[in-house]
Amino acid sequence: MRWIPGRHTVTGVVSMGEGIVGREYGPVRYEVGREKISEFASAIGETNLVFYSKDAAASSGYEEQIAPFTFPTVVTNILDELVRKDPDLEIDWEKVVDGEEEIVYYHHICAGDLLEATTRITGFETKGGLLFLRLDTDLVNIRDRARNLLCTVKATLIARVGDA
Amino acid sequence: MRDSHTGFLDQLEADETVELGAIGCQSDDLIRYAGASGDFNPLHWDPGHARRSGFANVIVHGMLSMGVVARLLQNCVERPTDLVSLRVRFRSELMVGETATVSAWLISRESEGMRTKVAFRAELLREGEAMRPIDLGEATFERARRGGASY
Repeated sequence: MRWIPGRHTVTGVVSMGEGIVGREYGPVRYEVGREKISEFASAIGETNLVFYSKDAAASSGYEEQIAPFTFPTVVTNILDELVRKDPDLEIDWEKVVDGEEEIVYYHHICAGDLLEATTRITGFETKGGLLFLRLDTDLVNIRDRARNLLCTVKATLIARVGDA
Repeated sequence: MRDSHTGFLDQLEADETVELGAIGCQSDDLIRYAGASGDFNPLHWDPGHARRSGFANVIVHGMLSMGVVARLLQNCVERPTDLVSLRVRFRSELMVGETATVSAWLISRESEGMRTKVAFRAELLREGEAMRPIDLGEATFERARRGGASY
């Protein structure tokens, strides 16, 4: 759970965006626990038992208790904290709202997975008094020494800039 | 009620819009979600902070609304993990205590029914206002092939 400073060194006066796109935060490691999956499932009103017990999941053909679709947000919220602490971004985080979110799965997440996640800035542009900050986060399962990409989360955050 | 939607992907006709359910959260739901997700932005639990930011009351986490939409979509298929991608544009805030209706319609059916794309909207009718979109987006379902990779 440690921020590895970006490779990009900011020298002298830089305009917004320069040296920002491509910047990376993390990796953070996150072990997916049964009770955390259940807690998250309950918080979104889930009633399907495959999200609450290994036995129920097994009777539906899954090896393990599975995580709800938006569970990756638990991990991206940890990484967002690192992004917010980056002084080079010069963003008033109180003015930031969610613009768009996309989650693409390659394999589902389940209890016992050991995730390694890295966020990178893929967009940083101002349009009409609004700043659009795009963040991509890859969640890789590093359990059993394999490195399998489970999903990618793409978020667009929107901030009012200046006096707008 | 929800069980009647199971398998709806195969039955969904072009031009047909199906109501999937609703997003509606009380204060305790927002506090529970804040704890479960780790998103402690005070806009979602502190009414004073929300008012100072220009909202009438605390607002529902965008990601909570997406979580409910994902749950409603997953309820439409036998295997929840057939939902492989979901994109949401957050168009307007949903206040605590308000209820948005979620509906979906077919975009395309591909690969002999193995891949289905649907669009959805969550919308809200406030008194004296036109219908207001809260979330808009698209979802892709892929049916796991027998003996093949399972999602």
